[in-house]
Amino acid sequence: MIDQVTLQVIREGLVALCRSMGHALSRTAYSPIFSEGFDFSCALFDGTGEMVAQAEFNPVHLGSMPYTVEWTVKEIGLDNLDEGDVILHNDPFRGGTHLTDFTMMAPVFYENRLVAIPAVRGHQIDVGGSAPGGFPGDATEIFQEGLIVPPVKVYRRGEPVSDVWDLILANIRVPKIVHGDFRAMFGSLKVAERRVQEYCRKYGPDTFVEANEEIKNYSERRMRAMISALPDGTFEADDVLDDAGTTLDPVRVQCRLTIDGDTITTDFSGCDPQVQGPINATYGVTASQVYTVLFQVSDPDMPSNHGAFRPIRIVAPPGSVVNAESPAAVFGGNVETSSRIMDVLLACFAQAVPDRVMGACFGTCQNFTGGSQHPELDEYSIIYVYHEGGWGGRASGDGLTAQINPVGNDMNQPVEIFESRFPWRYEEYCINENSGGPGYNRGGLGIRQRMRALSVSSSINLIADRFRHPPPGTGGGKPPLPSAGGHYNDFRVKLPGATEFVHATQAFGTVSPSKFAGQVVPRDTVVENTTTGGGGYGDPLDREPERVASDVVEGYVTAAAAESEYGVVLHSDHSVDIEATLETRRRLRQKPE
Amino acid sequence: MTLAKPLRIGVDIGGTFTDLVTVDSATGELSMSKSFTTPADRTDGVLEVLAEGGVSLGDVSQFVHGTTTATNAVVERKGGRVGLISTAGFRDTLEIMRINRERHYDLQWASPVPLVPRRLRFEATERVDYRGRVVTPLDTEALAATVAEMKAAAVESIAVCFLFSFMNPVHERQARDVISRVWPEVPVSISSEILPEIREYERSSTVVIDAYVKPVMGAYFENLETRLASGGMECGVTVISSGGGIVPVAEAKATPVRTLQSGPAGGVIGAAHLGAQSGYRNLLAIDVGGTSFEVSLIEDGVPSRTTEGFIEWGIPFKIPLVDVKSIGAGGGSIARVDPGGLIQVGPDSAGSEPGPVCYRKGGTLPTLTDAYVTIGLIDPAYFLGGRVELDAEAAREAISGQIAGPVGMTTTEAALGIVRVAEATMVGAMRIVSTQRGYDPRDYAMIAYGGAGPVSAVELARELGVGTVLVPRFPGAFCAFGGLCADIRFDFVRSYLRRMEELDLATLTTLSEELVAEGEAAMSRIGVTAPPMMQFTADVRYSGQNFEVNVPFPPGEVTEATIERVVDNFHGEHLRLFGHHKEDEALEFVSLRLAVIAATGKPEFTPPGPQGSAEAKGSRQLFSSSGQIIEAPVFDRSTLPVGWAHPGALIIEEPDSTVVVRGTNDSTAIDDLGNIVVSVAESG
Repeated sequence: MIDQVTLQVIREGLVALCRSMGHALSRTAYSPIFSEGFDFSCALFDGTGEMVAQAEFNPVHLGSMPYTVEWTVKEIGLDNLDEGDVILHNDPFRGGTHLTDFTMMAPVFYENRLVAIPAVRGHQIDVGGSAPGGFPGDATEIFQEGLIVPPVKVYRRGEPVSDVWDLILANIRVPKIVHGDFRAMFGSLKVAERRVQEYCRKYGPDTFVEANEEIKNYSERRMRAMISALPDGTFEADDVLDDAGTTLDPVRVQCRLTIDGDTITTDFSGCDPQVQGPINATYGVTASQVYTVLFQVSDPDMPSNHGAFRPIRIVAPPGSVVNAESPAAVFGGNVETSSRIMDVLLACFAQAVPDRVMGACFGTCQNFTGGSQHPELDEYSIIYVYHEGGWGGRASGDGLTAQINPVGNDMNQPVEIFESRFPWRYEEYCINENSGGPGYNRGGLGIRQRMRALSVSSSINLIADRFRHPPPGTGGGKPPLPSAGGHYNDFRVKLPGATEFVHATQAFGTVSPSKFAGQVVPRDTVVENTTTGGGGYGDPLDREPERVASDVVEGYVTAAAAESEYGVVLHSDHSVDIEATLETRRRLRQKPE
Repeated sequence: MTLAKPLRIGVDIGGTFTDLVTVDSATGELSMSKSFTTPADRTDGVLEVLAEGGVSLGDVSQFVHGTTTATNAVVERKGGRVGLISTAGFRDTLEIMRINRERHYDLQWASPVPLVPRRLRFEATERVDYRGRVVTPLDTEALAATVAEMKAAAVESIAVCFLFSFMNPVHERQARDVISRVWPEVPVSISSEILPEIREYERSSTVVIDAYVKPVMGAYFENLETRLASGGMECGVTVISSGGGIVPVAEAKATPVRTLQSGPAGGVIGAAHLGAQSGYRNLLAIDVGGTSFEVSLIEDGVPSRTTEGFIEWGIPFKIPLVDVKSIGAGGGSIARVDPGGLIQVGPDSAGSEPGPVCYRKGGTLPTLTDAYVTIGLIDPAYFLGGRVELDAEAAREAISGQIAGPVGMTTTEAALGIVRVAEATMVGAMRIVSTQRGYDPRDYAMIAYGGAGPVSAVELARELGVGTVLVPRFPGAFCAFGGLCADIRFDFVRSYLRRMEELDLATLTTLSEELVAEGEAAMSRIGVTAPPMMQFTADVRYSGQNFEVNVPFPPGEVTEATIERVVDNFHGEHLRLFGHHKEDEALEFVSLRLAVIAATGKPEFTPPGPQGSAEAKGSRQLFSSSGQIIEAPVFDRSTLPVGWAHPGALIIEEPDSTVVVRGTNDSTAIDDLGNIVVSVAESG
């Protein structure tokens, strides 16, 4: 049997291998999504198709990648995998997330034995469909969302299958960039192949395979130990998405969490059925959120692999908004509904382990995409901007300001990179003042971006949420106040000649202010994306007045909000007026909610 | 360069120790001293180590200094009170950062505190577009009022970073003029001078760091100069720059961001120089101290370079740097059993305070050093040459109780496990570097220094397939030595973002002439009259990519032939780095770089004569590379003469480090320069 130290040495080595894949990918990619944004994941699966190691790049891929590979193995069959084969796949209903997330995988053989399947998933900038850059906010079925690629071989025994490549690239608006990014993904699989073969040579294939099995068992033990340390019980929480884009009705997301010894069950039977709009989540998306939250509240350093998932049971009724069936539209499920699933899971855990959670975060990825002809570079270009916001307050302090949604961990695209490539000019990119939910530990703050269209005409799309339902606080913490435009997260537009910013409903006549597609705007239109902050943690009336005063000095909280939300009154030099503060807090405490 | 006075000295201030290496150019004698670093006033430690080494300051002809003072000022947030001026609408860039986080799943993680609080971040009405065209002129009147406001807020220095200033610096230069008119005394750093490169957050961070450490570094260097001068030193102080060159202290004061990482850079320069002298031009240099493991690559005698540095997670500085990759794995790295029952080592460290358990300074968590002591890799009675006695029993107990018990191993097995896991982490880091740089470790030799480097180096080499390990003299003070091997060097860059087929050759020629003029001015400013060496390189990428490859750029007037050479260079380098290239793909030119180098005389030293007999002074039990318990001889390095050789496993001790050879098939020798050279067998 393999000894524990050798096991740990191989385990660390396999995680380093996955990181090496990511570095190779980011350095050779074409689109800023990979090279600046790191919107990809790298993982290693064993010869049976179970995940054994993953590098920390993007959490939203965490739980869904295993299903993608599992599905591929099932559909193609282990016996039909040959050395030099490479498989591509993006079908959300076969373990995927949304169509822009492509997974590429390749079997690795050692002495004619299948020993590993490295896989890489990356967000491609375009996948055809009705919206350039994806995210059609008005889609009602997946066929409008783009090209569906079931598991297909794009290399067969080392040779590119050019028919398939031609077919895929013919459906994409920017084939050169997408092809370049596919090449980068392919290169990262080659990095993995070399290292796996070196391991087999060094330890022997039997030991390598045994180590893979033991790595999974190790994670399972570790996860069970962490779950055992949580208090037993059943906890419920629910929340809503603003709307499905096609109507204005809120969509309910509900979870019933049961902690029982060393197992956990998350039951989503209380969620709404799938809807006629692009916010349906596939099973892989829902599973990702469950695993992510488990890691967050139990062991942030948990080595992510198949074993860690064994003690977790997920009940998600087929045909519901958390386990949609074809032909549901799913583009926003991966980015909006995923956020809400995380919110309800954290709200469940807030009842079990309040010191390990946070108030709800801003709760959207606010994906803003578009396509336009560049007037100077003379090329058609596609933009993909996701927006950061504030996270909830937590036991250890105030929430994080201007962070990517916790379902992902991407970087932003620098303004200077963006403007060098795309026909837009930023006019503002700043913190959204006063947007943190009041609390003993305040929610972090959101941001505001304004940019001016420089192309004669630009087609734009949006999928966002929490415009009309704010992120709740926890433990007595409050939701944020509305942003300047009237919503929490917000999108507004100022058409040329107009004097003020208006919502999409008014400017374009869309049903939803947060979800639309294919709106064409002329040169000199200014668009404004605003995000809200996170919910507060604990009673804001308990926050030390000096911390409130400091927030006012830095411009994080207005003097008016300091008084109305925190009961803190300041002198003109920003020092605390102690008497007036005591009096105001006494009055606010008496006020019925 | 003639040296009337005999002593050339290198002084390096590290986290725990301040090291001194002296070379007597009359006798060729090389010597080393150490004293503790004195954080309250680091110049105290410098004077102490000079006294320790018996240096007569009047005899000093060259003083080369490496220091972590600037880095510490940022890490501890003890720099100056900086005011930042950004383009209107963008003052929060510094706080928004890149919107990602260090730890995926940790809901309690805190992001780094910005070096400039929001109330001291100001804006100026101005805008330049992506091609460098002025969209909105700078409002100088409003700016003057802002500067007055900053003066009232008592900032100590000002940083300016405008969007696209790397394409057109006119507004930043105007802003500097306005500031010096309104408030002539305040130090100003502008981004287009410090880092004329794309990416506003990284550029802001870099210029802010410069402004932030300027008051601290100015005071530190002045204090040092004064104290050394009053001790009788007549030569000026020179400082190792991040790029691995030496610059006069006045330059370091003017742009202190360029002294970040200066110590490690010195080590790599020394490694390249010494390696080449010993016949090894392709080297992996590893430096293992108490808290970190640092690895660098030297190709054909030249250290690999980068422009991406980080002070801590999320706080980047982008300046020309010797490429040193650092991970949290050192002697102080803490070992523990994780909830799944496996041994983990690091990345957190007990540092030097409280330190490993065996230091008896209050540390209770077992560390890599404790494991070394437990399995006999380090002699507890001979740590720092016997100056500090280690408590081996306490180390054993900690490992026994906290590691061996919970995992069900013997204490020795557990200690060995800690060492193997730590070494696996180091190997993983070296492999990641190798993927990024596209090389095969088997083509390289390894040079190991830092107190803990020589303990594990041979096993790391074996794991990576490296055949030779070199351990220089005084490995624990090697960074201080390295500075003496550095040339005078300045680096300059100009951004020029264009597709290759749209390049304007006249513009490029002008840019290259400007760079040359800048380089010549810098050299003449510091009194170098001989014509310096000029090395042009270009950053190029496939059109649409976001990361560049740095390739040689032929000097002189830029012609079609120049561009063809650059294109060829790019394809070759991309193939080498990433394993593929595509010759029909369009390329983009990004920037032109110039390194201006004036060679200095390198120290010549004689190898030590044998001091006593080269007999083993004893022996210790050791786990061999293949896991057998063996009895290994222990040698005192100072007794080993040039030409000495010994087969099999062994230990060589010296005051500042221990060299451990665990392979029974390895062989060890002393080369002509006094280096230890280990031939590493494939299987130990």
